[in-house]
Amino acid sequence: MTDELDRELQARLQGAAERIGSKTDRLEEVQLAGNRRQDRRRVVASGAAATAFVVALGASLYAVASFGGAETVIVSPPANGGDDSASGSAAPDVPGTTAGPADDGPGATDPPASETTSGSAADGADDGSNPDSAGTTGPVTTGTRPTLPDDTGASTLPGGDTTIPTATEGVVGSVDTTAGSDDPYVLTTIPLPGGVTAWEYTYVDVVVQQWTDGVDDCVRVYTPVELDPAAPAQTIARQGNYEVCQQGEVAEGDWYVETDELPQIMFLLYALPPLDPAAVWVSNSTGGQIDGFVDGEYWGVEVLESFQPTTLHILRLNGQEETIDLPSAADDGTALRLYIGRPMALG
Amino acid sequence: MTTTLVATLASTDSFDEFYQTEVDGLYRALSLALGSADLASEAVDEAMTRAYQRWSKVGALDNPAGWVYRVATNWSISRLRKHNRERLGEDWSATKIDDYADVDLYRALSRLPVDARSAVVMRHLLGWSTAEAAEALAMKEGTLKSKLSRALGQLREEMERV
Repeated sequence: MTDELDRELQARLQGAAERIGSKTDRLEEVQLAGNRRQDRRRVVASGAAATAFVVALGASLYAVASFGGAETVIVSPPANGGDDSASGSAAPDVPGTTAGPADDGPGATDPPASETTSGSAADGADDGSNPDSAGTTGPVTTGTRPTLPDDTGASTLPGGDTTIPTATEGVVGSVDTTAGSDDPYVLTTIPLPGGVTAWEYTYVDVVVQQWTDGVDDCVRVYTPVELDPAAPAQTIARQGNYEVCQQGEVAEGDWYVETDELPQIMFLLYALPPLDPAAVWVSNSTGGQIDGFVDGEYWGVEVLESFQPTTLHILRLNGQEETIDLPSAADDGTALRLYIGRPMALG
Repeated sequence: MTTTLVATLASTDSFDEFYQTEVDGLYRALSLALGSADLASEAVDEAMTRAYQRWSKVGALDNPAGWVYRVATNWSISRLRKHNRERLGEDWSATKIDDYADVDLYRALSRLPVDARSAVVMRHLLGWSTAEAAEALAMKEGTLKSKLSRALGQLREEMERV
C-alpha cells in the first residue's frame, strides 16, 4: 500500500506539474537584469579607493563610512520614496561614528585617533535606482570615535582597519550606539574554534534614520565585498525564519540589513565553513528568539518590531553556546557597527 | 577575440543551456512547494538572475539548480513575510496553485512546512538524490531523509483520508 501510494503520489505530482505548464522564457530579461546589477556592483566597487562615503538624500540621513580602504558602502533610501530634494548637499556630520583609536590586539595597526574621512558624496539626486553612482561632492564628515572600553581586559575591538589580528582570541562583537550617548559598546571574547588562529574582520558603520513614510524602513548596505552566497548557508540549520527588505530592486543581489520601526541593533557575525559552522540568533528578556540566518544572499540578524533583543547567541558546532548582552534599544539615528567575521586558518 | 571575451561567451552559453534545461522543472517544483505559480515564476526569475550574476561560481556547483531553488525559496519567503507584514503591495495569492486542479494533493502539500514540501518535490518531481536535495535545502542528508519520511507519511495520511 505504501509503495502504491508513493507511486500514486509521484504520478499526481507529475500530473500537477504538467498542468502548471511551462514557465515563460525570460532568459533575455534575466541576463539583462544580471548585467545591470553587475554594472551597479562595479560602480560601487569602483569607489573603493575612497575612504568614506556619506550619502545625504533629502530629509533622511544615511551615512556610511568605510575604513581602511578595503570597503566602500553606500546606504540609500528606498528606490521609490523619500525626499529626493537634496541636491549636492553632503550629509551632516556624524560625530562619533568614524574610525578612531581602538585596541585591535597585538599585531594590528591602529588607525589615527581622530580620523577625517573624505570622499565623494553622492550627488543627492536620487533617481530611485540607487546607489547613486556619480559622486560629485565631498569631503563629507569628520568624526572622532570615542575610546572603546575594553570590558574583558583580554581582547578589544579590531580598530578601523581590516588587519587580521594575530591574537589567539578574537573579538567578535560590537554594537555601536547613538553618537555621543553613554550606552556602552559591547565587547566580548569568544574562543576561537580549533585550527583557527584569528578572526578576520571587516565592518561598516551605518547611521540609520527611519524612513519618513514610516513604512519603508529598510536600511541598505552595499558592499563590494564578494561574499560567497552559497557557502554560509551550510553553517545555519535554520532556514526560512527571517525577513528581509525587498523595497525596489536596488537591494537585489547585495547584502543588507533591515530594521523595523525601531532601528536598533543589528549585528552581523558569521563564520564561514568549514572551520566554524555556527548559528547566530538574538533573544529578548522573555526568552523570545529570532533566528539568525544565512541564506543564499543575506547575512544578518534581523530585529523585528516589538522585539527588544537583549542577548546575542552564538552556537558553535561543538554545541558550545556563547552569549553577548546587547545594549538597550536606541532611538532613531542609532549608529550601528556591523561586523562580518571570518576565522582564519592556521598557517 | 580576447581570452576574457571568449571565456565570457562560453560562460554565457553555459548559463543559457542551464536556464533552458532547468527553468521549467524549477518553476513547477517551486509552484507546488510555494503554492503559487505567480510567486514561483518571479522567484525563479530572481534566482536565475542571481545565478547569472555569479555563474562562474554557481555553474561550478554540483547541482546549480539546487542553488537556484534555495535562493528562489528564500526570496519567496522573504517576499511573503514582507507582504504579510505590510498588508500592501502584491497579492501573491492571486494565482494559487489550487487553480490547477488536484486540489486534494495541493491541500495535503500545503499542510507541510515549506522545506518538507521542497524535499518532496525535489525527490519525487525533480528526481534529485537525497544528497542533492539536502544540499539545496542546506541540511544534512540524514535530516533531509527524516524530514522526507515524515512528509511522505503525512501525505499518505492525508491522501488516504481523502
